[in-house]
Amino acid sequence: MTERDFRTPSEELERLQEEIAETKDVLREMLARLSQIERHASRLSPGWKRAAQSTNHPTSEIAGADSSMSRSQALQVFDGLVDSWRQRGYEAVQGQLAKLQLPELVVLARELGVPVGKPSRKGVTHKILGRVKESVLLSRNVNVTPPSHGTAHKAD
Amino acid sequence: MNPKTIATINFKGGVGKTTVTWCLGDVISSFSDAKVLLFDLDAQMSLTQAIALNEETGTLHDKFGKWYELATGRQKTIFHALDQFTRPDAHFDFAVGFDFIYQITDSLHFIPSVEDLYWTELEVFDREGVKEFIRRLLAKITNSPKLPKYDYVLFDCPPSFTLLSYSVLSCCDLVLIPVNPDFFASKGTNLILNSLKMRIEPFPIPRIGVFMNKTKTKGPPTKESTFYMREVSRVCEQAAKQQSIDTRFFDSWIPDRVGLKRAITTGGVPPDLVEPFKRLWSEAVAYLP
Repeated sequence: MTERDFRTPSEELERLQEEIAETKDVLREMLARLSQIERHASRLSPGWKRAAQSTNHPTSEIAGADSSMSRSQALQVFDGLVDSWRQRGYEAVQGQLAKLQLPELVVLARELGVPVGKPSRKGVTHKILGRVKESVLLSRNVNVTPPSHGTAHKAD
Repeated sequence: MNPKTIATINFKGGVGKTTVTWCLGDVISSFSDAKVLLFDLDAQMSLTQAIALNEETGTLHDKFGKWYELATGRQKTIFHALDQFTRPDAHFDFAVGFDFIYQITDSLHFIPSVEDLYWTELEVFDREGVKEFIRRLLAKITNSPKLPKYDYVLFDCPPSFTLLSYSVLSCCDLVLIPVNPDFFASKGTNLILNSLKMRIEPFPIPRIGVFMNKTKTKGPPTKESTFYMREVSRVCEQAAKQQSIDTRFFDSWIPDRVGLKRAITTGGVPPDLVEPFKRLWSEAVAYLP
């Protein structure tokens, strides 16, 4: 074998570009096939995609799985946060949330029905605080004006 | 025997009062031997229009349209009944029959609303003078030999505390409050529970059943819906303790389905939603005094 048998850098680049283009074509074909399969599956069972996505969600594998917090524990933590807000205010609740690990925050957020998406500590904390605030506001009694004594005159 | 009376109310509009009232009436009358009478007490006439409107033509169904025209012409509407009742020194001898009550089916009958009810709120200020109206009207209906013996009377109330709402709440057996899984709809629960007692007194407060309507589901309710169910349940417990009112948050819930909104205009509850309404009704009946 001589030096003339080896590809030049420009020839190698050209070959690699062709290979990339071929691989992209294969990927496009696979994606189209996947979409076809998904469409067919959706016709058979409309909810399967949502169920599949929720179990395959990376956050459920990464963030939530590390937490040993159960559903009832998460709700207890939430009730505690609500009480803290009522007694000591917003900053106290922020402080308590700061002590929780991200996986625990994610479990708590999910239990409260807030969308987690890509979990960031700041984002999840903000959403949990929102729910705590909602709970406080929902149970706060509104100052309802009582009816005046007796009745107004009847219109003529 | 007097019929059991149930009023559906919430001061928040759009929570599904009218749809729930109709669906309960439809399910009870279709799947049991009970005879049901529906009242539309809302001057906006949502239930009346939904029952009466032919969606294709945009006009009233012929049968109801002709009946309604006759009833209006003969002054046999709820407005005329109220008008006679509130006249000073007048004897309330408003005759009731099928010229006042419309027969949707053999076992589901209906007293429609009229727009004139709007003016009643402006012209009649005497709340105390109206409080006995529904009770007296129901007595006439119950005692009329021309009418069947109704087992249940369901009232679709307006989203505000009107004279007619007061009249119904002063005599009904059960108040049903549908709420939705969102903050503002759930917030209304607190308002209504806290104000009902002081508005109805000195009459005894009816039992109050609160339930989640338009529940978002993924099979079972979503976590978001469950959150609001839990919060509203807490509000009910708090109101029961602080206000000494008999309030319960029901276990039954109604799912959010696009098809449900069309239940009235298409003439019936969709098959997949019959069971949720049966469950709700079973729980409501068990809670009736």
